[in-house]
Amino acid sequence: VIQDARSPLAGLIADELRRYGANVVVVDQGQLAQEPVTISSERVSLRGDPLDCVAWLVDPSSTYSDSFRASDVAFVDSETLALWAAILHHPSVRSTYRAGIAGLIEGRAWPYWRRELTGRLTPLAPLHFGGRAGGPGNPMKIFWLPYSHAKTETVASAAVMNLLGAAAYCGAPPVETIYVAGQPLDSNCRAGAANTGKELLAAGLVMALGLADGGGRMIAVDPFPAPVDEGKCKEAARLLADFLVGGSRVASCFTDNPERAPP
Amino acid sequence: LILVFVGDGDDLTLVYLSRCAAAAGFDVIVLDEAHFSVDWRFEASSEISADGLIHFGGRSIPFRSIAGAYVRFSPTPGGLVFDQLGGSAGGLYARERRHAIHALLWCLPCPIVNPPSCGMSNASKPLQMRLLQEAGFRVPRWIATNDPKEAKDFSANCPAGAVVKAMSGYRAEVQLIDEALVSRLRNGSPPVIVQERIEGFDVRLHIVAQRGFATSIRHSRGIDYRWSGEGAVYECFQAPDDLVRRSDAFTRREGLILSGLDFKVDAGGEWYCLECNPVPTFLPYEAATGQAISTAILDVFSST
Repeated sequence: VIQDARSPLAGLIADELRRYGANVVVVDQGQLAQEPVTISSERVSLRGDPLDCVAWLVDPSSTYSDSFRASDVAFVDSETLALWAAILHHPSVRSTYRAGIAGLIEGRAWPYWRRELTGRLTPLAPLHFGGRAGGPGNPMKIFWLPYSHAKTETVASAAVMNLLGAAAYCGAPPVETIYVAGQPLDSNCRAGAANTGKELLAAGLVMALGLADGGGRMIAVDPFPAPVDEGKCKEAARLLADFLVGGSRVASCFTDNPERAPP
Repeated sequence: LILVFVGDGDDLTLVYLSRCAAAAGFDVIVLDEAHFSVDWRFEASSEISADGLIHFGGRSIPFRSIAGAYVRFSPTPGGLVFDQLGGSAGGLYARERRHAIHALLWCLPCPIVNPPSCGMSNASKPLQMRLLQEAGFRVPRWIATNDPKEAKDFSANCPAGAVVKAMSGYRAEVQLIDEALVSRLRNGSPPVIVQERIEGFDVRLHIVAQRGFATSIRHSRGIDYRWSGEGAVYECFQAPDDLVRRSDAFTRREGLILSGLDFKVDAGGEWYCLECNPVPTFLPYEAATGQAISTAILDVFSST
């Protein structure tokens, strides 16, 4: 379990996995570069033991190298992410992120994830770049989607959008839903959310935060959420542990995308 | 025909290809990342992305009028706004700017050499080597580890020795494994790739939309000709047809139009694939051998 210390989720997943009899190692993200790991095309080992499952609960753009010199951090982080990208997608490992290395590098960029979800059943809100949506009219009626944040902000001015060609959408403030192992955690969520959960899972995202507009259309995805709500964390931990030990409820999601299916 | 050259306006390969394009009669527009939002910008909508516009130099250029885009980003793009912001704000600006340009490229309804986020397996060598193996290439045996004992044991089982490589896309010299490396691992170095050394000569195979351009590189000093190849001899080489086909299939599977695959050819004529580079600088190979790689790239744009 690779943990983000801000979220209680890692500890809860570890407890659930131990209930299944698993030998669980919890690693702080900042210590990941120093974890003893060996990988070949056939096997992955951690601390000398075979590694079967990984719960990846961290933002890939954060640092993995707390104990390294500042001048080495950029290189060490890049090497560590490269290694763990291979582990997360290794045929012998079942992991909570199998959405491709490009997704690890693009992070929360909605234009990227929007392309990944295009052509599926999940309705997607239109996305505008570079001020066309707001135009010279009323920029406060639209929302700015910073490429790297997966959350909306009101547009300060049309100049902001023109400055960066920023993405934006028009409509009501967004609604957040966490999807885990193909299921929305919010029992009151909109119609169609079950499809969205399955499609995120089929895309290789076992846990993700989805933002939808008032019409139920997706406007952003956070593939690396750090939930803090205790009830949601408990439910997420149960579903993630079930997924990692091979629960059968998710298998049918991968019929269209077998490359992203877990081993 | 309008061609846009996107990314690092000072990159040698980008400058070279843009001049070739201008000489061939294309209307060349260089969209320098460092000048984005200052000298040029774009507007588009996902609903009708092909109807977007690029605003550049007093012109409003419809996406539909663009025949192709050639892309080479700088790993450390600067620019006036970036410099003024500095610190974490500058970092955020740079990330937003890069994502914005990616969004632009995804909207363009023309061939992109190469599309953003494609070929990213090269950023994780262990992942890419497994994909290359699955695609039917012979890949030298390897492990990735930070365990000094694993590294030494693996190396001991390689008759010609083992080399050490970086894991990510960082440009780093390939070297023979030695006691100094093992000592670094013992002291807490991040993992490295340890790979069976193949004795022989190097071949760079460029794939451009199904066409293959192979260059052999023979050198007598060091392991990595990119670093210690002074005096290396570059020559046109005939790659086996099935290897070119396999390389082209891998290139397309990665979503690329242009790629540079690196091989070692041993004394028995066996080809070992080392990696597939999604942003190859073909310039030294074209300059040394006269192979028309740049012309092949421009052909991709003029044939659409």
